[in-house]
Amino acid sequence: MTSDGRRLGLHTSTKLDFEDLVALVNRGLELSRGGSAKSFAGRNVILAFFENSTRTKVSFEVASTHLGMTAINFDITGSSLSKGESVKDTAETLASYDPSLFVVRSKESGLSQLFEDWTGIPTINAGDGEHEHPTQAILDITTLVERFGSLEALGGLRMAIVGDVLHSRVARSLTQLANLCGIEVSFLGPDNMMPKYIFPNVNRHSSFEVERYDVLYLLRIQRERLAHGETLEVNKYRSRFSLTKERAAHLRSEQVIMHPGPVFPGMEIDAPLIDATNSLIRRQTEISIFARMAIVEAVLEGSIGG
Amino acid sequence: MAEDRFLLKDATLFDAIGLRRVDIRLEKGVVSEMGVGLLPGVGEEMINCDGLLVAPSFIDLHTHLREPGGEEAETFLSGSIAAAAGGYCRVVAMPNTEPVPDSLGVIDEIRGRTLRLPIAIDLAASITKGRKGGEIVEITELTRRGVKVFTDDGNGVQSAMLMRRAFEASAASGAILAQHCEDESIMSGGAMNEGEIGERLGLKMISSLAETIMVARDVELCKAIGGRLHLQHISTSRAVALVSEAKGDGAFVTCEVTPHHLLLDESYVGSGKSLFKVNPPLRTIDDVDGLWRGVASGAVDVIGTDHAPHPRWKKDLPFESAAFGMVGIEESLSASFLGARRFMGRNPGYLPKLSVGTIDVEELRPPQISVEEFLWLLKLVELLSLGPRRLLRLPNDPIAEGMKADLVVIDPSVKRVISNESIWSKSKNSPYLGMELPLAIRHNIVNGRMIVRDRCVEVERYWR
Repeated sequence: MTSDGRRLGLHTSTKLDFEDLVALVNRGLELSRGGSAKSFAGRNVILAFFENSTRTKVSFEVASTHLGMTAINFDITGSSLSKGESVKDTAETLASYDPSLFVVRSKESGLSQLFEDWTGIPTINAGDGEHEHPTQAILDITTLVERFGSLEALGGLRMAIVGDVLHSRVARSLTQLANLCGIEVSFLGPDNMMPKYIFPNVNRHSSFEVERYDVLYLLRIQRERLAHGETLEVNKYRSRFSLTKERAAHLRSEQVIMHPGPVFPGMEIDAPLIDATNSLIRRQTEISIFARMAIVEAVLEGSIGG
Repeated sequence: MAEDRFLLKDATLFDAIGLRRVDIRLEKGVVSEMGVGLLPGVGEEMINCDGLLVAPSFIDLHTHLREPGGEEAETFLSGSIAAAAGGYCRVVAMPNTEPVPDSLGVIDEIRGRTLRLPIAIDLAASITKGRKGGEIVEITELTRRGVKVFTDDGNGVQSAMLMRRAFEASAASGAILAQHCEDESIMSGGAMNEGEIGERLGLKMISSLAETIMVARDVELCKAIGGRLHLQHISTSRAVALVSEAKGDGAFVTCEVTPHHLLLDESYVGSGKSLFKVNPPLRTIDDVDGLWRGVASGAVDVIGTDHAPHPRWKKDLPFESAAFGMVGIEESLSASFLGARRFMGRNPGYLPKLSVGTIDVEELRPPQISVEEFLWLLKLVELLSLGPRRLLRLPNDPIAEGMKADLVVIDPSVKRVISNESIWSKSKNSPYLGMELPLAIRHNIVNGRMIVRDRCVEVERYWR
């Protein structure tokens, strides 16, 4: 929201309430079942990606194309944001092309909000540093609702978020929305990958007993995000927190496996499990198009924002 | 010139003697007469000070003027104008410039650029050559040549062994070692305070241990070796406690706090605005209150601004990429006073230890503020004006006949909203933009010249 109370883009899941989520999930599922999309023909969206991403960018590109929009890729991965004059100038230059929407991804926390502050153009956060990735969380909840039948049916589910929770923007956004839905979240991972201050009420489990959870949400291990002086012992990690074939051997049929991608097979999950019947990983990617169409519609119509 | 002779009429004066009502006559750059019922002489301008507070002009122990090397952000000229607007007559310029003032040659050369300005600029020398943390400068020799303050500010001196040598030189020479207290080995390249807000924002964080570890180390060195330790911009409750303890033990330790740490807490960073990125970082509200208790108790000796100008392009960035630092020398009293008001709101009845003399404070209180607010205001003036004079061993306090006419006139009745246009500094990276701040510097008289008149710096007259 802007200081005068107008709702603009989507930067953090903390600004979404349950009603926002209901609307987005229902609309996303409606679209996934062939519901007709609104048309924003003649309007442009600029995808400003300051960090590598294939899946998220393509997903937004397809989503906006389905909405009749022209997606313009502004791809400056690898360029350093520390060359200050370029970032704000870039935002202002891009804004002068009169897009209806920015989608911004960055290595640094807070850039999508800055884009919006600088330009006044609604901006969707497609992942900013170690802060948030709200559209991923919305598509994850949408995927779960499709599987379990309704948002209400998610209440009381037990979800394990496994891996480098501390450095994961996906985990932050997802935990926020899972809490809204009444899902009981537990964090699993090495101590140095656990948040110290946020989500004090979320369980911390130190051993991965898969039967305790309805949803196994595995995070990508991003070794490059480990702080100075911290190390990752791969074998030790795998033995404690990977979803190995052995661990998955006794999964019940109603338990589901999720992952925000890209998957690092043999690290956080054994390769064959990606396509197992319990796995929603492929479905997450498919649903992402419809969830993001719903989000773009809502932002352009001013019905959500945060 | 008429303007060079003033009669400050009905001034409420606060200095080392305390508080009193007095008329002050100024001529030829000095205080020529003090008394009650003085009448203006011929050609003398009378300044009605009824309801205004008068004190020795402020001195800042911690100013970044950026010259030489960083003139894009600030210069001696622009920075001295900003300092004048804030009520200052003297500032100590930090040495994180290019070149670094670490030798007599460089210092003499830089000094030459500061001499014709209406306010005094003292150059701090670095503690280590080039501020590189590897080799101590000639502290004794530089002290002999007039350098009073040594600091690597921008960074702390990381090596305990080098600090040990520096304390030995300080003990021999009387040099003040001003330490930027931050142990870099535990900072992890952080950008804001470690805690819930920083973690939620996904920012790299700075533990308060980075500060307290170095404070504890240097206090121990100072106690063991002697010398004078001045702890810059302390920001944590724990550091205040360590300073109090050291003072109790009789160590020659002083410390400063900044106006921004007195007013702002880490929740301001929640906006994501890099204007609130500063080093040390804005801390928790408990730390803010801890600083205030230190101000009240006397553990805190001075308010130093850490005025740190940056050009726009270094601040128009995501939080982690933006430069550390904020301007604030123009608003140091106002921002601190707003901080005091908020502290009073959180801690009703908590009052500073203060020596005001024998006068009835209620009688001299400006009508716009309460007695409690007045006491806090006087405490702040003490830290901006009297504390730095004691630390630098400067005269001109208390105000008396024959003393240099450096006087600031504070108007408690004013409020103002800070904007780009209201800032005199060359850089506008102020955390107070858009905020309404109380009080104003109405006049600032330095060397008998009214360099700020009715809240306007007399740039044309004195800076050309």
